[in-house]
Amino acid sequence: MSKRILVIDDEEAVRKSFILALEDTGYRVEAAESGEKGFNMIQTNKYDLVFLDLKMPGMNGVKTLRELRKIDKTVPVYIVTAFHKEFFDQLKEAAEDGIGFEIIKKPLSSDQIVLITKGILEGPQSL
Amino acid sequence: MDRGRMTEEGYEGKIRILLVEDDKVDQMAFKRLVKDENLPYCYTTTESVSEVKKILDSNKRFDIVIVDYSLGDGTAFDIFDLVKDTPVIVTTGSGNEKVAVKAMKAGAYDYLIKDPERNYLKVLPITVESAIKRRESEEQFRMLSHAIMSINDSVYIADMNDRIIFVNKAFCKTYGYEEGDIVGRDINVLGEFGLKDEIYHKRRDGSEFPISLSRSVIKDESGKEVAVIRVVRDITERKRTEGVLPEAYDELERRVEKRTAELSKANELLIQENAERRRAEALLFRQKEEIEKAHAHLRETTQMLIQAEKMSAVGTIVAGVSHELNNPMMGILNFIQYCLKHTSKEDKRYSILQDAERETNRCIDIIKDLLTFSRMEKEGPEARQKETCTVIFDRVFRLLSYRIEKEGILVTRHSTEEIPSIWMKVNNIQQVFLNLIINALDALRDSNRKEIHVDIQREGEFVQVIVADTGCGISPENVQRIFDPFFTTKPVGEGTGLGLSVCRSIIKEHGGEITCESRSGIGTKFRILLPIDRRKERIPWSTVLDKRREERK
Repeated sequence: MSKRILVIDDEEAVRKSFILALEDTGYRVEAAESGEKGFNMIQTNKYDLVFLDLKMPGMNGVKTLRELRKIDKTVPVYIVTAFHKEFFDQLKEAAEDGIGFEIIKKPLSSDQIVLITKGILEGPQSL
Repeated sequence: MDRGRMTEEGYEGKIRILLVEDDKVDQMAFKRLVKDENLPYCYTTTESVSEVKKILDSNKRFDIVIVDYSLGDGTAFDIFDLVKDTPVIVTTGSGNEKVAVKAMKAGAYDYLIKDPERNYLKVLPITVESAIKRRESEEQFRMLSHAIMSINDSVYIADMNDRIIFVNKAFCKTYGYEEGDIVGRDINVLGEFGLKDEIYHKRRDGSEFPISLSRSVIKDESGKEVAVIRVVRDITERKRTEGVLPEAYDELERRVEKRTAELSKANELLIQENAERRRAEALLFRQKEEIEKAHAHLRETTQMLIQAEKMSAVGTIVAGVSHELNNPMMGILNFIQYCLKHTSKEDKRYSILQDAERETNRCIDIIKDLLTFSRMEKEGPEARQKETCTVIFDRVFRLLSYRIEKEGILVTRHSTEEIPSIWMKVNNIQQVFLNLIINALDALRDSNRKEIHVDIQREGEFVQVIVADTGCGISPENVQRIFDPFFTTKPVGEGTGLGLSVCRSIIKEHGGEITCESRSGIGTKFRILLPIDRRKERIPWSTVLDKRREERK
């Protein structure tokens, strides 16, 4: 049973980047183009890793994160962002509320995507 | 000397002759002589004493009178009385020499013996000339005698045997002699004694008086000494004054001293007043300076605000755009990398895809830098962070690498290992460095040698950054103005003239200093000093800077 990865990003280029980069890794990569849609998918499916964008129309990254954590407290959530200042305060609050997440910086190359993903899912020994 | 010859209009330079001759033939002979020899004579001919009288009564003047001894109504002697001082030449018939001697004794200047062949006319011009000359020297002598007689100094002439042969009126008056009493006596009678500077003479009555004496030897035409003339001045009065003079000097000195003291006092008061005025002026000047400084500061602040406003607006746009670019860039990068992964290395498209990957990465870097820059204006005044100048230059050169490569510019960078990081507004400092490098690039546009040298060193409590280029340079009059807001040499639309003024404001805000040296046609060098730790101390750096400036001198 291959591990499932969810990419939530309103940008198709980003979603597709993850899909293409992880194509041959054997992981099952799914994508959602909005926070709402991603949240719905998490409600119905179990994921091993979530890549989450911050700045999205509708439900933004922080909101999505908070909702997501209500369902799944353990899934690793990696916020992939180009550092939007306006979300930093909200993120800080979320962290203070005990909501777990990591941040990685956009843009990511294919190698970086693969390395990060493997690192999270397999542990450092797999690299 | 023409003194004896009166001049009348039309006769200037000519000798005026009155010919008194009753023999018509002699008259004609005279006239022919004047004409033939072209003699400078202007003559009047008469035949009788009565005619001469008439002519002279009409105030006509002559230099010489030539008169025949026997005239119809008298003789030459009658003429002597009429012509008075005018020299007379008497002509007589041959064999009448006795008359001639008589005439000479009566006062004739000369005589001519008429011979039947009239050869006497040949010597007439010479005779006339010598008569006139004699007349002139007589006049001269008379005048000199008169002068000597009438001057106030005593004059006496002695022959070579010290016998007095002449004295003047003043002499007689001073010494108390009559002319007749003293002439012929030895000069010893004057009882001269004393030294060079203090000579005394004795008067007739035996009294002594101080004199000043000048002595000249008179020589005759052959150079033989014939007499000594002495001029004596009675200096009794002067001697007396000399005695009084020192006293007068003392008095004068006392007065001068008193006046000097008064003036000194007045002067002191004036100096005091001046000092007060200067103090007031200095105070005024300082106030004026402070106002000017405040004005300058205000201007700078205004400029900074304008710039900040501008940068803020630009920054917001850049940030937004850069941000939006990040997502597609990530897409492009990953698409290329996907293709690379699925393209055989033998495929000629492989290397092209590598090119695309590399260029995409460059774009990503540029966006990253732009984001760093645009963020700066959003930071508050306390938003400082630790950074080294070296790292900032890395970013600046990365940002400008395309232009540097395209324009073929050689960039050298030198820095020592231990460059300390500085608490700074990173983006502001970055803006300064970026500005300087862009300026350097602009300056190098038309240079043959295209080089930019960056040198970063620790200088005591400062980090010194030098940005030097080999560009066109800045003229001396412009160097002074480059930090002024709105000063620019760039064409309209290319520069706002704010860059360097903002640079200076930023460096100042960091407690540092920026200076510029430039030589037209050789290059420009900017030097920046940034204090290493600005967190603890804010003001004292300026004093440290002043000290350093002193040291450099």
